[in-house]
Amino acid sequence: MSQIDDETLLVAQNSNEFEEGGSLLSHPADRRNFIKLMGASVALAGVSGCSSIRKPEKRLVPYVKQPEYLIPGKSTYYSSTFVEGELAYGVLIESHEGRPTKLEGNPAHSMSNGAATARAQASLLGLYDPDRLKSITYNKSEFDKEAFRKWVADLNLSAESGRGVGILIPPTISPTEERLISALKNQNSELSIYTYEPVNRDNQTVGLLEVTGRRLSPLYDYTKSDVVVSFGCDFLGEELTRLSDAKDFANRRDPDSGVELNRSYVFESTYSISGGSADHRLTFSPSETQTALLYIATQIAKHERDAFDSVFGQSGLAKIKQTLSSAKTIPSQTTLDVVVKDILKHAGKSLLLVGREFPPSIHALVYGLNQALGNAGNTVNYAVDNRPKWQSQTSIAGLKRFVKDAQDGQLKTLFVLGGDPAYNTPGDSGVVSALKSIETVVSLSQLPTQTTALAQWVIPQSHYLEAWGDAKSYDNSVSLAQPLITPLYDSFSVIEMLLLLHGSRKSDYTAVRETHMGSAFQWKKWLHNGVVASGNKGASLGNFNSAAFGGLLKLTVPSNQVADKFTLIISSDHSIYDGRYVNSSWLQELPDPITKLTWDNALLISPKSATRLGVHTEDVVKIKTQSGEIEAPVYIAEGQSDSVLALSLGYGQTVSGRLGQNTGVNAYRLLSTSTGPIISGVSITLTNKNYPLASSQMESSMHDRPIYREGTVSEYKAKPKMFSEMVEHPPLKSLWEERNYDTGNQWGMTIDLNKCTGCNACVIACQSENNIPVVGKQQVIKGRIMHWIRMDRYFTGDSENPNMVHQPVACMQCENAPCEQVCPVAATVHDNEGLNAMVYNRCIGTRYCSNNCPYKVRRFNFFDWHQKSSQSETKERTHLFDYFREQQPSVKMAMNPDVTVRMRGVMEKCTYCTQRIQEVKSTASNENRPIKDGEILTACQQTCPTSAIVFGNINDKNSTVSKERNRSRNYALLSELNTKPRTLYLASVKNPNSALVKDQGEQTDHGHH
Amino acid sequence: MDTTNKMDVKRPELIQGNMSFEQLTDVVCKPVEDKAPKMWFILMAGFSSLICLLLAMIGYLVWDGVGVWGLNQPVGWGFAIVNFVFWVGIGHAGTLISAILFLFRQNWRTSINRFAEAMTIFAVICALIFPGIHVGRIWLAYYMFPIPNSMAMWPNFSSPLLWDVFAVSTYFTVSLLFWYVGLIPDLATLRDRSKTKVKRIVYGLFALGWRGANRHWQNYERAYLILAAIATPLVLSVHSIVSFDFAVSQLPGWHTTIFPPYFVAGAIFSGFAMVLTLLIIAREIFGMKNIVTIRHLENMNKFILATGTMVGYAYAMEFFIAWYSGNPYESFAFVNRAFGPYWWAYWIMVSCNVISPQFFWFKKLRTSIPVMFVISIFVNIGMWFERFVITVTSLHRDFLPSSWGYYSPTYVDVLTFVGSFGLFFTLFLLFLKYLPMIAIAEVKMILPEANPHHHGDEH
Repeated sequence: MSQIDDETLLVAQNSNEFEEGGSLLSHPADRRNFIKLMGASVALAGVSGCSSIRKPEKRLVPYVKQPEYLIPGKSTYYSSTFVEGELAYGVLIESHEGRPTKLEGNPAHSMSNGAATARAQASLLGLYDPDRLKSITYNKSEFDKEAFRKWVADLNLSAESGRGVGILIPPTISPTEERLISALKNQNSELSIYTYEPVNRDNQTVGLLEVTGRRLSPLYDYTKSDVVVSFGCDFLGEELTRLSDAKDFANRRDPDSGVELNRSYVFESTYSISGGSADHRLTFSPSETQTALLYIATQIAKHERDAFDSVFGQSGLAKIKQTLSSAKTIPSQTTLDVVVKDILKHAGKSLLLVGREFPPSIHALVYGLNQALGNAGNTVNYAVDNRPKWQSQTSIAGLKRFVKDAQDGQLKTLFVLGGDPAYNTPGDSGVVSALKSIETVVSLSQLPTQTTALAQWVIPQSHYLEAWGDAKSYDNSVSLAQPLITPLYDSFSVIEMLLLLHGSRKSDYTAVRETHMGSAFQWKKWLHNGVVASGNKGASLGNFNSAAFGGLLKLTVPSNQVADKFTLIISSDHSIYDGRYVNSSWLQELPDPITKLTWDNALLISPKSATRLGVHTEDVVKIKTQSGEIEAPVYIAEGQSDSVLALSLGYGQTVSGRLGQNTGVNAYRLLSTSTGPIISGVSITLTNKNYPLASSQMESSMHDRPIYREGTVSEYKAKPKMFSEMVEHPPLKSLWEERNYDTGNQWGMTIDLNKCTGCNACVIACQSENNIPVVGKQQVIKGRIMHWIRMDRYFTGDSENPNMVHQPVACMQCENAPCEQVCPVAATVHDNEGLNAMVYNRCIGTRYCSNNCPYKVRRFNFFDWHQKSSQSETKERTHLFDYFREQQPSVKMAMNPDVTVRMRGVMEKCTYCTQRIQEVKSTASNENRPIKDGEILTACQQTCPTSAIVFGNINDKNSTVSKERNRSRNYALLSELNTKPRTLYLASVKNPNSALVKDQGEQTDHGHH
Repeated sequence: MDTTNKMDVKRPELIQGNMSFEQLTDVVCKPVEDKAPKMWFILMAGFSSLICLLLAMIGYLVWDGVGVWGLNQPVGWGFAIVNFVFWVGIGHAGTLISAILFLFRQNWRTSINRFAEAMTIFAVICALIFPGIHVGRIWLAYYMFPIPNSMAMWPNFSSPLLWDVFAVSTYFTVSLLFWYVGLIPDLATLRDRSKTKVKRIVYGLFALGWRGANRHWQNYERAYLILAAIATPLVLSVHSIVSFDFAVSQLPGWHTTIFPPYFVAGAIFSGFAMVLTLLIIAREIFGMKNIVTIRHLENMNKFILATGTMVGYAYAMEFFIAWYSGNPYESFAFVNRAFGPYWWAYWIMVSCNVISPQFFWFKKLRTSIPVMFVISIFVNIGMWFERFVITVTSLHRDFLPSSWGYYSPTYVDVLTFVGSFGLFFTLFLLFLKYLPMIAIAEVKMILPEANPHHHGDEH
C-alpha cells in the first residue's frame, strides 16, 4: 500500500516536470524566470497567430504492472501457426509493446525451418486491415455479442437433432475444430456439415485413394532426389511442402559444396517458379504433358518390365498404351527418350511429380511409377491423412451436396464458418441461389464479402493472431496458435462459433487446451516452441489397385481437337491465393513472380497466339466456357504454351474492402463443377476495350548484358572464374582517395542465384520490416513502386523456349557509392562499417542519387503515400502545418517502431536492416562480447526458404559471408563501374543433361554472353 | 607582298538614317515616355495571367508533392531540369554580347546589348525557379547553401548540384550588376527628360546621381570594363558547370567529356535565337529599324550558324565516341536516343538544331526577316528538345533493363513550363515599358558624330 502511495506522490510531484515550461510556472517567484517569461511573451506577442503551431500535449503512461518479459522498446517473439487451406506451419510473431509487427517462420517447425511465404508474412497486415468487419449485424443493424449468443441459444440445435441446420466450412486441419465438429455431429445426427475449399489437392487425394484405398499426402525428400521430373507441378512455388522442399532442393544445387547436383525437368504450359529453376523446361500443354507422361510410362515399362508389372499388373501397360494411342503425336519424343534414360539411370533416386490441376488418374499413374522405379520409400513417402467422416470426399462433392440440400429446402439455417462461397465457387454451382433460398445465413468473415452481402447474420471473424487455435500440418506435425492481441473488434473465431453451437460457455483457450492434454509444463513448452508434435516422414506404401487404376484412366485431360480453341488453366494466384488476401495492400502490390503484374490478374496468352489473334497486352477479350463468360485483359506471357490460356483466381470481387474491391476479373465464373481447373474448348473473342495493367517491370530482356550470369556445371568446372571474367574493362581507378574498410565490422551480403527461386518472400519481409508504403495501381503504372528489394525477372534464349531467371536486387552498399558523391546536402553518406547510410532528416529530395545509381535501387516518396492510400482517413488537425489525412490508426499499429516512417519528398532504400544490426550491436556490447557470425539476420535473409541470401561481417575471414564471397562463382554486378558493391552475387550453375545440351547449348550460349 | 587593300572601302554605318544624338534619344525613349499602346496592356494581361498559372502550379506542387509531375523511378529528372537548362542556356546570349563582344570591340553589339542583357536576367530568373521547386522538400532547400547551422553540417562540395548553386547565383549577380551599371547613364537621361515627379524620383534614385561628368564617365567605363572582364569567364563557366550535373554522373549518355564546350555552344546558340526572336518583334513594333539594322541581325545569324554547326558536330562526336569507346552501355544509350521510344524527340532536336541553321549559309536567307524569325523559333524548340533528349532518354534506359521505364509529363509539368514563359514575357514587357531597350549612351558612341576621325584612316 505504502508503495502505491509513494508512487502517487511521485507522479504528483513530477507531473509538472514533464510538461513543457511546467517547472517554470511552478516557481513564479523566481525573478530571472519572470523576466525571461516576460521577454518571451513580448517577443511572441507579434506572432500569436502562430500559437496554433504548438504541437498538442500527449502524455506517456507507464505500466502500472509491467507484463512479463516486456521491456519497452524491445520486441518479444511469440509462436503461432499460420494456416492457409491445407497449408499450416509454425510462425514466430514479433511484438512491440503488445502489438504484432512482423511475422517470421518458426525454425522449430519442420514445414517452415524459419522461412515464411510472402502470403504468410502479409497475413499480419490483415489483422490491422481497417476494412475488416467490426460489429455483429443482423439484416444490417448492429447487435452486440450477447444478442447473437441468445439467438444461437434460441435456435435450440438439439431439439430436432440439428435438423434444418447446416455448417459450411473449409475442410479444417485444426484438431480442436475437428473435435468440436465431430462432437457436434455426434450429438446432433441430423446436422449437415459441408466442406469446401476452392484451391485444393482433391485430384491427388482421389487418385491415390482409388488405387491405395487410403487418403495420402506425399512427402518428398529432395535431398535424395538426383532427378526431379515435374509434369505441370510447381513444386517450389505452390506445393504445400514448398518451404522445406525448396530448402532441400537448393541444397542439391550448390556446385561448390561437393554434393552432386540434382537435375530437374519441368513440363508445363505456363511458366512457374519451378520452371525457372529447372535445368530443362519444356512448354507443353496439359494434354501434351499427359501424353509425355504416358509415353514415359510406356518407356519405363519397356526397360523395367518386371518392376512395372509388379505395380501396375499384367494389364496395366496395355491400358496405358490404349490411352496413349488417342494422342496423335508424341511431343518432343527424342527429348522424352533422354529424360526416360535419366530417370532409369537414377531409379530409386528420382522423383516424378504431377500438378494438382491434373485429373486423379494422372496422380495415380505417377504414384504407380514412383513405386515401380523404387522412388517410394526413398525420395517420396506417404503420410496417411485420417479425415473425419463428416468431411466431404472432395470439395466439389461437398458443394454439390450443399446446393442440393438447400434447393430441396432442407436447410433453414446455415452457418458459413469462413470462406466466401458466394464468390469462390464455380460459376455453374448455383451457390448464390442456394444461399438466397435459406431462411437465415450466418456468415463468419473477416472482410465484407459477397457471402456477407447475402447473409442475415454477419459475424466478424477473429484474425488468427487474436484467437487460440491449432493446426495439424500436412506432415502431421501439430502446432499451436496463440493470440498476440485482444480482438480489435467484436469478433468470433471458428472455435468460438463452434463452442457457441455447443451451447458451451468455455473459452477458446480451454477448448484448445483440452485438445492438447498435457502437464502445465508441457503446455508451456508447446506454447514456447509453437510445436506440439513434430511431423512424421511417412512411409512407402506398396499397395496399388491396378483394376481401379484401369477404370480411372478413362478420366484424362482431353486434347484440343478444334483449332482456334484453347485450353484454359485456372490456378490460384501467387499473391492473393484464392481471393482471401484481396484486400491486402502488400500482396496486391507484390509483383507476380512471372508476369510482374500487380493489382490485377490477366489472361496469359503466348506471343505466337497473340500475334495470330492480333491481340496485345492490355486488350480486353471475352472468354467463354461452358459455365460462363467474362471479359479479361490479355497479358502476353513468355514461355506460355500456344494452345493454353491461363488465368488466376481471387480477383474480381464485387464486395470486399476498399483495396480489393473490383480489382482484376473473376475467374471462378469460368470454372465448372464438372470440369475442374483445366478447361478445354475455350474460345476468346476480341473486344474494342482496353484495360491498363500495372507491371513493375517493363523490359524482360537482358539485352545481352552480363547481369544475371549463368553457366553449366561442366563449363564452371572447366573454368571456375568464368563468371567474374564475363566482363572486360580497363583498370579501375577512383577519383577520390579510397578508404580501407579493414577494421571492425564490415557488413556484406551474398545472393546465390542458384538457390533463389524468385518466390518473393524477401520482398514482403522487407516491406514489413522497413515500413515500406504501398503506392497503388496508378502509381505502379507510373513507375513509382517502393519495394527496397525487387525481384528482377528476365527471359533469355529464344522466344520459342525462353529461359526465365530471377535476380533479387537491393541496395548494393557500394564502397564507392555513386549516390553519395552527387548528393548536394550529404544526406547519403558512408559509415565506418561500410554501410551506405541514408539520412532521411537531411534529404531534400533532389533525386540526383537515384539518377546516378546504376542499380536503380533507390525509391523516392513522390507523395505522402500514407495520406494518399485509399485506406487513409481525415486527420484531426492540431496545428497550422498539420497533415490533412493520415493512416488509419489500426494500420499504424503494423509499423515497425525501430524504423523511421518516411515523409514525402524523401529518398529511401535498403539499409541492410540497419536497425537489426544496431540492436544486435547493443546487445553484444551490453554483454561485452563480439557479435557472433549469423547473429544478425536481415529481414530478407531471415525469411529466404533456400538461404540464398547470406549476410555478415566480411572482415571476419571465418564468417559464412566471407566464405561465400570467396567462392569462385561470385561476381559483382556492374563491377566495371568501380562501385565496389558490398553485395555480391553467386552465379547460377545449371546441370543440364549433356544429351540435350547439343540442341539447346547454342541458344544458352547466346543467352548469357 | 602587301595584301592590304589600299582602296578606301567605306563600311556601311551601323546606325542608319543619319540620326542626330537628340533624334536617337527621342526614338529610344519614346516607348518609355509615351502612354503604353493597347497591345501592351493586352499582352501584359495575358502574360501576367500565365504567372498566376505558374504560381498555381507551384502551389499545387508544394501542396501535394513532386508526384504531380510525371517523374518516376528511372526518370528522376524531367521537365523541371530540362526547363532549368533551357532557360539558363537562353540566359547566355546577353552576357556574351555585352561582355565578350565588348572586349573584342565589336561595336555593332551596342544596338542589341541592353536588350540581350535584359533577356539574360529574365531568363535566369525563370531558370532559378526550377531547381528551387524540383526538390522533394522545398521547405528545406536551404540545406544546399553553406549556412552556419546547429547541425554543424556543410553541404557536400563534391556534388555538381552544389557547384550549380554557386555558378548560377554568381552568374545572376554579375549579370544583374553588369546590366545595371550599363543602365546608369540612360536612367539619368530618363530622369532628366521625365515630366512627372514620381518618374523623376524613381529614375533619379536608380541613376545614382549621374551627372555625366568626366569623372563619372571615367569611373563608369572602368567599372564596365572590369565587369565585362569578370563576366566573360562566367559565360563559359556557367554552362560548363550546368553540364557537370550530367557529365560528372556515370549515367551513359550523361557521362561525356564533350559536354562543357558542347553545352556552352548550345547555350549561345539558343540565347542568340531567343534574342533574335524578341528583337525582330521589338524593332518592328517600336520602329527601331535604323538602330537595329539588318546587319545586326545578319551578324547574329552568323553566330547561330556557327554555334549550330558546333552543336551538330557535338551530336556526331557523341555517337562516334559511343561507338569508338566500345562501351556497350554507352553505345546503347545513343542508339536508343535515335531509335528508342523517344526517337521523335531526338529527330525534332536534330532537324531544328542542325538542319535549320544551315539555311543561313545563304546571304539571301540570313537577311530575310521571315526566314530568320522562323528559324529562330525552330532553334528555340530544338534546344529545349536537346535538353529533354539528354535528360530523359539517358535516364529512362540505363544499365539494368529491369528498371527501364517511360516518362510522360503531366499537365502540371506542361503548364509550369508555359507559366515560366508568362513570367519571362511579363518581365520583358515591363522592361520595354519602363527602361530604354537600347543603350542610348553606348549607341551614341558609335554614331559618326561621336567619332571625328571616322572618315579618315584607321588610327
